[in-house]
Amino acid sequence: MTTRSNLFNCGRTIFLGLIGWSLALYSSAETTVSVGTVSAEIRQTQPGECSSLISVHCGAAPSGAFDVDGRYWVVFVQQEYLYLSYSDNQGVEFSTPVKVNTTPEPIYTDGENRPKLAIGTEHEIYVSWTKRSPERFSGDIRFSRSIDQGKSFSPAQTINDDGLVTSHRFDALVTDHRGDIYLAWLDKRDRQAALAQNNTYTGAALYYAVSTDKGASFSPNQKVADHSCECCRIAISRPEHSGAAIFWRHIFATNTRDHAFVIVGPKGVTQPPQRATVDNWQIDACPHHGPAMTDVDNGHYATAWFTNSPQRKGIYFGSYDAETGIMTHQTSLSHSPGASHPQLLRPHRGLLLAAWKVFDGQKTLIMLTASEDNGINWQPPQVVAETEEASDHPLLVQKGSQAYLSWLTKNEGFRLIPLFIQQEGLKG
Amino acid sequence: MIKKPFLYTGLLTLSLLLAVPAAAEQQAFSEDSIAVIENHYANEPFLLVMWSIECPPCRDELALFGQLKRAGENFNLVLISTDNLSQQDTLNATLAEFGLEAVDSWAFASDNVEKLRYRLDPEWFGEMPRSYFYDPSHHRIAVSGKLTRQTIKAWLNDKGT
Repeated sequence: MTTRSNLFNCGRTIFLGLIGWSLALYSSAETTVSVGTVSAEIRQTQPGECSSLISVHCGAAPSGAFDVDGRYWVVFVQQEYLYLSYSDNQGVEFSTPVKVNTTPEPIYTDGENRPKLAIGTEHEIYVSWTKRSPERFSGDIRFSRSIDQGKSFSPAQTINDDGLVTSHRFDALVTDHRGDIYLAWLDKRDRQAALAQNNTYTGAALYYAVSTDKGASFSPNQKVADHSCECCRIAISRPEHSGAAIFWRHIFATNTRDHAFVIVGPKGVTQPPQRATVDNWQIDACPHHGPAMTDVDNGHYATAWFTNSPQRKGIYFGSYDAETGIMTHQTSLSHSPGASHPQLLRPHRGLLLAAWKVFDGQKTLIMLTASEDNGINWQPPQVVAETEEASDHPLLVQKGSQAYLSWLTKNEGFRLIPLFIQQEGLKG
Repeated sequence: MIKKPFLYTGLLTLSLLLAVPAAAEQQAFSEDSIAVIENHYANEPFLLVMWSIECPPCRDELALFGQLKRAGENFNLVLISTDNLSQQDTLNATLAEFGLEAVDSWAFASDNVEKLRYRLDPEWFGEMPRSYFYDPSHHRIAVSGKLTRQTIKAWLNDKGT
């Protein structure tokens, strides 16, 4: 296992910076991070303004992606609607939002629930979300697509096909390299059936469905595994050729809430579920901490997760080899107060980024660290954004090989913060 | 002299009022509230529990507290919901479901949940339920996950109430 002490002695330095901001400079011997403060371009949400304004700055849980032309598409939830908007200048201005669902419905945005957006191979825009049912902890996985550049959306369809009022929540959406769409979620249909027969059932189950016709239709629901943890987001990524890789918090034995990994294809599981993390966090509780994952090379996946076992606390990184089932290069990224909701992004082959949230006693900070060797060595984490009031979870997105932090905060509104990577010093 | 029909009506109204338990009232949990709570229970042991309506295991724990209270276990219980105070109708209804209307109850009054969590305990990462057993000198032991009847009974036997 790589330790923190030798991580910092790599002798090679990546410079992370932000552009287009008024700058306050933080520096250390190895790394320089320019930290942005709010500039005139970033709007301040005025009290009361959001009561009448439909805007990415006012909505909840914005989630987006850049398309190949550099347009940033984002969906957000406001007043029982999912809205789509776009920006052609990296988040400075946004288009007038368009409704995705034409009939209002409650949409989950609490905890780690949030809508998802993915872009197809021919500019299709795919969105998913979880509709809140009136019954406790219940919901439906919803999907809609736009094939006219976001002007209109198909009627929202429910993807879970059991017809039950139970928990189908925590949707995860990805398009693979063939353009197939994978939707995975946590599902309590089996739990409900077990309880109806007075049997016990821990947690939920992991289900998925796939569309091989660009979202016109979906396969029947397919179960991947029983006994997932029930309140944590799912990480989903694309294997090298096709299918979807899924990394989720699972309940092993009675109450050990570590993580499992699986690869699924159009016709079912192609690589059976395997235990991927062994922290032995035993807890009968809702962690509310789901993992993150991005594909790397040669069947390897960069993963990040939260744990709070007696031996390990905070956010960890690991490189998972899907073929051997071995998690290597495990290292602690953060055990600061409030360390949560990690994100991973590999904007290009030579750079892996990890971001997460912490609270320093006064402010919520987004920390960022970088690795140029797929997670073997990491730079010291640096603050790249901060806020003094309420905030959403951080997301990392990319425009070409340029990385951005996507973050909605109550005081500053929605921000796309460019993470400017200078390769200076790498030759040292 | 009160005419009988009015008397009956009055008695009926009174009995209905008595039959309906007092509605739970959520107090606003802000940055300074933990100090207020600790002062209120100065020199007394108490059990502080964080919960949420979005946390399935929390319901099992609320049910256990309801059972203990109905069984006559007399201990100081403080419930803090991390749901926003604006959801107090749902919070009140949930507590009423478990017979916990009379419990000292609070709900997060700010959507800056990170700050409120930090004020409660910088070492708490948001998992729920999360409980703190306070002894009379207010040394506290944190526990993540559902409490068991045995754990609570052991604490009651140790500390007395």
